[in-house]
Amino acid sequence: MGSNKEDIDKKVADTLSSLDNMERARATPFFYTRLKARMQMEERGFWSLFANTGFSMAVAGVFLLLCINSYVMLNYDVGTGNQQDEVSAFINDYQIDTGNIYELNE
Amino acid sequence: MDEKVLIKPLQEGSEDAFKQLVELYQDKVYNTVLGFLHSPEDAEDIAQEVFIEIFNAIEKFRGEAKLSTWIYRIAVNKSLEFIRKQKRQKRFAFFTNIFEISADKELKVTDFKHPGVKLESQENSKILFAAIARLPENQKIAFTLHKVEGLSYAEVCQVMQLSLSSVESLMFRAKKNLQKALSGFYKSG
Repeated sequence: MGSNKEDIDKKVADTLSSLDNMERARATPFFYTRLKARMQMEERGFWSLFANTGFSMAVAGVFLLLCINSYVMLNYDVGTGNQQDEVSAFINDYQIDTGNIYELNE
Repeated sequence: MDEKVLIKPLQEGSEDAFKQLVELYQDKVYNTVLGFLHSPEDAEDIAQEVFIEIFNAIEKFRGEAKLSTWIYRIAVNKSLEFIRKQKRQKRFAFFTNIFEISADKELKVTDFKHPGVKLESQENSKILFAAIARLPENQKIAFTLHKVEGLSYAEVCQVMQLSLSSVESLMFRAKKNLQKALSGFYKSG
């Protein structure tokens, strides 16, 4: 029993010291070349999105819709004085003004 | 080479300076990342991501920390992000989830052999790396930076932005946890 515990303690100690005096792992040769290739590929990948015709058309379509939407919103006439006069005249003509309900009952 | 000399040309976008930086730090970054990921292929991939991040973020480097400290921080963060992502993917995997619940308490010894470990210690190191992978995050960072990358406690403090006593405490708890995990492993085996 005692020797078993000692045996385990020794294994634990050996395992814990297995990284002592280890050397640094080295990156594989031509690391920089592969890194540059990846960076160039990622950059190209980004710009190729715009080179893709379908994607460009979609972006252009959304942009056009946004322009039309902005134009309509900026030029939308909220209501002129004439329109309000016409509405007042209409209310008077047909007596649909519910401003004072007691007047109607009198 | 003095790293301070590199910073200005790097911030100006000099490709030569970037090449020098990569050559200066590629082994340090690769070894650190490998210490966390235990896979040469993943380590190569993440080491590349570290340098891409350095290239993109060097303009923001204000020199408050040493360049090497900043690079180690990026390497640690990228490695931990990768591990978290892997864990998330495993968690959502359908069947593995059911089996992992029962197997989670056991050490999963993989075939990973760190190329810098002496031949006679390779088998033991595989078990130790499996135990390190199960440590809480901060203990794992401190232990890996000190034992695998060979940084001094003072350098680990700078990378982790912690006090010396905090790093000492993390190392102490890491060793205790590793002893416990290894005892359990050898008792059950």
